[in-house]
Order: sequence, then structure tokens, then C-alpha cells
Amino acid sequence: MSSTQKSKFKLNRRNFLKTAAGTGAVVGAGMLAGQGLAIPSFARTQDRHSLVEESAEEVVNTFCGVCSANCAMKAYVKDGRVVHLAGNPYDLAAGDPFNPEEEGGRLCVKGHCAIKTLYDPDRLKKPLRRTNPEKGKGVDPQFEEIEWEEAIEEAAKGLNKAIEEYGPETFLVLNRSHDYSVRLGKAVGTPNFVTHHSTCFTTQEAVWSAMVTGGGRPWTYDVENSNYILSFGWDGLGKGKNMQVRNVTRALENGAKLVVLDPYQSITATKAHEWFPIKPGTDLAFCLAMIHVIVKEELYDEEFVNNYTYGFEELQEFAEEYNPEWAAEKTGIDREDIVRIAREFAQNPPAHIPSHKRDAAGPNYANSTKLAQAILILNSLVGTIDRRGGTLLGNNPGGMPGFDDLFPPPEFPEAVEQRIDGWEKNNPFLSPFRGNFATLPYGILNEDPYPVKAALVRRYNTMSFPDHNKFLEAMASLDFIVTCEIYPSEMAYMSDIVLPEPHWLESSGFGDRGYHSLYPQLAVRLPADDLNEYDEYDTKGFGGIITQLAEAMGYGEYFEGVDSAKLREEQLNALGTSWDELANSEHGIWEDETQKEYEPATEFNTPSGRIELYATRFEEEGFDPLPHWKPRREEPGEEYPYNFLISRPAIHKMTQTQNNPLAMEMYPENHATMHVELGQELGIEDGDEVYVESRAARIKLKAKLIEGIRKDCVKVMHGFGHWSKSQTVAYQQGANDGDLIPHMSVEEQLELNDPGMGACMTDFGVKVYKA
Amino acid sequence: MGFNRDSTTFLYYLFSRLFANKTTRNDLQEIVEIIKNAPVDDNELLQKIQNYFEKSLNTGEITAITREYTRLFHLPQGVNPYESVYRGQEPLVKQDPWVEVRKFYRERGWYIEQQANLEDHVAVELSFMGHLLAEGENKDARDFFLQHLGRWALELMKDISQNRHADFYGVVSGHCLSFLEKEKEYYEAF
Repeated sequence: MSSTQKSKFKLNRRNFLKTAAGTGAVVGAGMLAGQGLAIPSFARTQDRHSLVEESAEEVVNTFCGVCSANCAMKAYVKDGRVVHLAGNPYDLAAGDPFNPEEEGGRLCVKGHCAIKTLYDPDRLKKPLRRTNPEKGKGVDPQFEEIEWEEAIEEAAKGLNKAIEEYGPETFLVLNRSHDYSVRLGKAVGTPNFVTHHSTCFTTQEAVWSAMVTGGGRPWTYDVENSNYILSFGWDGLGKGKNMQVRNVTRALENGAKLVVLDPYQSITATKAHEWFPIKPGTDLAFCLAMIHVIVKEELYDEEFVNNYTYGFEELQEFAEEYNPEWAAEKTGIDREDIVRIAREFAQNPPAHIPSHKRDAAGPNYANSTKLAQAILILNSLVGTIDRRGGTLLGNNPGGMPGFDDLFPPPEFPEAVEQRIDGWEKNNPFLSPFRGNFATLPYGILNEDPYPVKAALVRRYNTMSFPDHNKFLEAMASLDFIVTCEIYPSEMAYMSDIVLPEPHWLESSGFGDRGYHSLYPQLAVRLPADDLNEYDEYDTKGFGGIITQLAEAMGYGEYFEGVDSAKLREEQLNALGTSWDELANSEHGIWEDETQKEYEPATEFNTPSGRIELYATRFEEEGFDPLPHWKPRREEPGEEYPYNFLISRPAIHKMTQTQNNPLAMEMYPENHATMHVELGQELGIEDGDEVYVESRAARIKLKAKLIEGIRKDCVKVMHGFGHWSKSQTVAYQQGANDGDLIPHMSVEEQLELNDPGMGACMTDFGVKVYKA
Repeated sequence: MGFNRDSTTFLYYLFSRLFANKTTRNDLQEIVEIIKNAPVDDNELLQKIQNYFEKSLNTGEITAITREYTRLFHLPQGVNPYESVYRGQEPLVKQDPWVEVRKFYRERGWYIEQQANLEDHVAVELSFMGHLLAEGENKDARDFFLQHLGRWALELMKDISQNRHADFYGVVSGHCLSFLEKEKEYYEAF
């Protein structure tokens, strides 16, 4: 016998019957511990106190999964649980590998809060099956727990039924592009891989693709080396992203000037030298006038413009009409300030306008893509495209084999071209594996061009969609929905089968430095905890789920030989390292020492090999090669007189963190934020319940009256208004801004002639009144 | 005054089983048989439980029990049957009470053979009480009840009874509550 002595309780019922005259209650335990009636079973150690453990402490290298920055972190594990997370000083995103000891590591508040999500008792633990056929907002799905085998079988059956009866195109894959789900979708033969990107950054991506990169947009802002930072709604401090906060604060410490144009006084605006509450949707006019001044007064970086840009002559001619007087009228900002800022911007190198996702050049207005275009031109005129102090093209590890390289699939069936969100009518500047959330409800509800009957969803919340109520109506019309999630989210509540995934602190892998790739660097993710050690938790990674689902659906041949560990190993081997080496390295970091010295690009992936101020690729596709003025789609009017603004608090990540008790302690609900004078005018006091109403819907929330916002605006923070009762902390806290955003038909989208396919997230008016 | 200690041990095991896993019709039938054959003295509470289970089996109420279990114990609109959630600084799993429970098991010379549930799940703590009593570790049982189980599980049982989704488990938790209340009386006077 080992050092432990088995207790005598493990009798089953059969044993009990044989020993019924035994010692009563002791046998009772054995009886109940029979097959299918297991109770937690204890065994005695040989000697009392023999297994008393010292508090075990361990530091695990991992990286954050809250946002795409992938900040590397150290997870401190004590007594079998994660007790603290800290930024890895050797990481480009969370630390400073050039000076790790002195600078240390940092995490944003969202990263620090992640432990509370890991240990949230509301997390999904087992696969769930819906038993209530009725679907909709507030409808209880009446889930029951099922085993994985049954869940996969039922998911496969439900999806296949739709595919076989109505055709492969009626199967919707609704998640961020992922090797496994893309392969499954292709194997089925659907063209419908729909993602959220039209609500996020396609406006900027299209511009960068056409004018600089030939595909995709960079995310590395070297503003810590900027001397002049100009922001059009960019709230690098207020969004709390680690490297952006660090870069802006360092720039300010170094004496840089920060100027912010934003209708709302964001956190960044509160730290700025100057804040201009610009009229919403007119940032383009301001930029055009800046171009006018810089070109006319020959303030541009001649060396950069001459050597690295194309189309300056066309730009000169174009800029002539956009004088500062014109822009002053559009923007509500004095002509003198426009001229002064244009001059300061050009005469304080390096100067830069950073733009990251949902700032003014994000998909907020019908003219946002043009604003992104104008910003890129301005940054080119002052020579801060892929130059220190500007936006860098990024340098992630190259040469790694991809999923399809290592595991080449059999031939896929041909899919119909038309998509349910109209994305095939898109342009070459955006990946086909993006999508349009704004047009999806229209397509589904109008069966245009065909019906959608089933969906495979991963970690998209229904609240992320414009016109949330219309989207719910669309999803409720589907026959079958399978959702992979870690929370009983609103999308889970609309689903027929819910498949639980582990938290990222329980996962393994590696990642590049998403938002700060100054040179090639990877960080490892090792599991800091694993609740699957307990039978009551039974989660599976997404790749494993899709492989099993594909097998059950009859597409197993597409996943034969697919092995995520092999992929990981081969990719690392291509860089001259291995999983073992990375996993066992002290700081969990791999980097290419030979590329630490920054080398600016001298050629760009455009037809001319230069940054195209005159975008020939746009011209070829029938879009405007220069950002001629275009107004927003819907000006506020008589019925809906106020501009609607959306922002996101530093504490929260979209709709994902509202069940986190720590995050909610810091930021428990959103408000209808408006100027004190607007409140007085409307008879609204701070804290009053109000309705904010658009032509799509109305929401009820508390008013917050402040000085730092234009008097013609109402702002609502995103992420609140959860209606799934299974998220006990988030439930009914605040309201969902997405309810107010009108959806679009594909035709309406195409009429905008916007190469960025922006969802016009705030391009409409609202009214506000006391509830 | 507590229950007869043999019956008590059996009841700890029985409640542990009921809260540890889903209960199917077959499971319930088997449990009824086990109760009938349990070599323990007549016990009023055990009889009540047996009667209720038999009634449930006969009236067809049993069909919804597995669904009710999911809603109560695996979905957040139910209850969180962990000492950590009830007694921790924040309502999360794996907080300080979980560490303390594990330490108690280790220090008193026990380990869990299979990690079916978190160590401070009510089913594990109930089972542990049963094991201690069965082994005659009465002082440890008293310590564990007063330091752990007795400090939160009564509140859990009330929460289950009051949960709008509770039907079968509402009755079970009601019985468990009356059992634990008597146990509390017993150990406080121990």
C-alpha cells in the first residue's frame, strides 16, 4: 500500500447488499457512492499532518486575453489559485525590454481585473441545451446541462439539418476569423463568415490598405517620441491600453504638446494642452483645412514627401478649395486656431495624429473613411508614417508556416458568391473574412439574398450589434444556433446549444505583440490555473470543439492530421526556437535580437511603391482617390436634435467585463452624459432617469450632467444594459447604446460609396427627455 | 439534541449525493431503495425524505429535476454552492475560505480521491462531515462544522428554498436546513 491508505467507504450498492449487516452509516456512504451516484470521496493519509503542504508559490508566464494588445504578464499562483497579475517587464507591450529593470511591467486595469473573471461563479461550466423553443430578449432559455458527446451530436444534427434542407449558404459563421471555424465553414460551403469589423476599424483599414500597406493597418504608435500629438477623438489615455498610456505620458514628460479635438472632454482631452469641442462629424473639414495650410505655406517635410509619397501635385490642387474659413464654419472652431494648429503640427517634428479604431476616423460617420484618408495624408506630409514619433508599420515575426500550410485541406466545395451581409460587394481593401454587422439584421430578416437558418457563434454578444433589438429579431428567426462562450451571455441566451470554453488564464499558446511590435517578439501563454481539474467544470478549447463538431457533421476529412501542438511547434521551429524552449524560458519571451534596431521602410506596398496621397487603388475601384469633403449621413434635426456620441470606459472591455465585480465596483453603470446647460434647458437634473431616443429605439438610463461636453451632444458609454439574468453582476446595469444605432440594408450601405464600409455607429440624431 | 449519529452520518452522505450531481429518475429510484435498506435506526427526517422521493417518482414530478439542478447549481440565476462565494471577501470561487477548507482537510489527514467539485462545494463539505463521523473523528467533525459547514450552508439552504426555480431541491434544501439547524444546536452544545 502507498503512503496513503484508502478509506473503506468505496463500497457500491452490490457490496452493500452483501454486507448489509455491516456498520450501518459507513456502508451507507458506499451505497451512495455506487455507479452514477458518486459522492465526493475522501481517503485518509497514513499519518495525520503527513500531507500538510507549505504554501506553494509559483510565477507563471502568460499574456492577457482581454484585448488584442496581448500584454505579457506574470501570474502569481499561491495555494493553487491565481492571486496577482503583473506586467512582464521584458515585453514590448507591458514593459520595456530596453530598460526592463528600471521601467518594470504594467497592466491596464482590465488586465488586473481578469482574475475576478477567472473565478466568477457565473462562468459556464458545462455544455447546455435549450429547452424553451421561444427565443428573444428576456426569454429564459431554460437550459439543461448535457455531456459533451451529446452536445456535439445535437449541435451537428441541428446545423446539418439547416444545411441539408436549405443549402450551405444558410449556415452563418459569426466569429472573429479563426483557422478552425473558417475551415469548417469552407468545408460546409458557406460564404458567410461575418465579423464585427465594420463597427470597429474597416474605415482605417481600407485607407491604409489602399495608400500604404496593400493589406491591413498597423497598430504600433511611437507617440512617446512625438513632439506634437494631435488627436481627433483618439483617447489613448482614456481607453487605458497599457502601451498607449505609457507612450502618451512619456511624450508629455518629454515636453510634447498634446492637442485634442473631440466633442467630449475625454481623459486624453483633460490632459491636453488644448481641447477643442469640435462639431461631431466635421473632423474631416478640419483636416482638409490643415492640408490646405501646410501645402499652401510649404510647411510639409519636403524630403519625405519627395522621396516616399506619390500624388503630391494632385493633392496641391485638391487642397486649394478647403481653406480655413470654410473649415471654421463647418467645425465651429476659429479660423485662427485651425491655421495655428496646422502650422504647429508641421513645425514641431516629429508630429503625429494617432488613430486607433473607434476614434473619429473609426466607422462612426459616412465620412469617417475620408477622415482616415485625410489623417494619413497629414501624417505623410509631416513624415511620420513608419518613422520614429509616428505610426510604425510593425514588425512581427515572419516566416512561420500557417495552418493551411501545415495541414493542407482537401478541396473545398464551391460556395455561392453572395453573402447575407453584402460583403462580397465590398472591395479589395478589406479581407473577405471581415463583415458587416450593420447590414446583417436586414439580410436575415428579409432573406435577402436568401434565408439564414443556422449559426455558429463564438464570443460575440448580441449587444455588440447595431440595432440590437432588430438583430435579436433576426437571430430569433434562425432555426438553430450554437454558441461557444465562457459566460451565459445574451448570445448564449439566444442559442440552442452552448459550448463552454476555458478562460484564457487556463489556456496555452503564444502571441505576437499586437499593438506594439517595434521588433519581432513573442510571449508565451501557460495555464495559471485549470478549473477543469474538477469534474464540475468541463470546458474545451475552441479548436478542439470545432474539430469534434466537424467530425460529427461529416466534415472530419478536413481536419485529419490537424494538431494544434504540432502547428505551435512548427511555427516556433521556423523561428529557430521550440515550444519547450519558450515555455521554459525565464520570462516567457522570444525575440529576434538582430531586428531590435529600427529600420524605417523606404518602399510601400502600393502600385507606385510609395505612400499614395492620391490613392490610385481607390480610383481603380471607383472610389474617391482624394478625401473630398462629404457631410455625415444624418445631421440632427427637428425630431432628433442632438448628436449621439459613444465611448468606452477604461475599466471595461466592450460587453465582456460587466460581470466582473471589481470592474463594476469601479464603473457600475453608464449614463446619458450631457452638458449641464442642456440638462437645465430640458429640466433634467443630475441622476434623473431619462430616455435617449433615436429613430431605431429608446433606452432609459440616468442622466449625468457635466461641463466637458458640447451642448448639442448626448454621450453613452458602451457595454452596459445586459439582459441575461445569468450574469448576476451585469444584469440590468445601465442601458445598451447599440439599441439606438439604426441598421442598414446592403443597398443603403452601398449608396454611401464608402470603401471602408463603415457602420455609421453615431451618424444619427437623438432626443432626450425625462423618464 | 442531534440525530442518532449513524442516521446523521447517513444523512450527511445523502445530502452530499443530492447536491453533488444531477439526479435522474433511475438515480432517485436507487436512492429510495438505499434509504429503505439503510441499516440505520428509524429516523423521522429520513422517512420524510423517502416519502417525498416516492411521491415524486409516482407523480411524475421527477422529470424536471435534472433541468432544475442545472438552473440551480450550474447557472447563475440559481445559487453558488461554495463556501468561498458565501464567506469570501468577494462572491467568487477559490477565495480565502477555499484555501482554509483545503488546509483543514490536509491538516486533519485527509485528501479527496476524485476532484469532482471544488473542495468547498457544499456536497464535498457534507460528505466530509459524513466521513469524519463514520471514522469516529467527532472532535474534527465538530471543528469542521463550526469552522466551515455550519457557517454558511444554512444560508445556502435558505437561498435554495427561496429560489424561484427551486421545486424538488426546494424541498430537499428545506429538509437539509432543518437537519443542519439541529446539527448546529448539537455542535454548539458539544
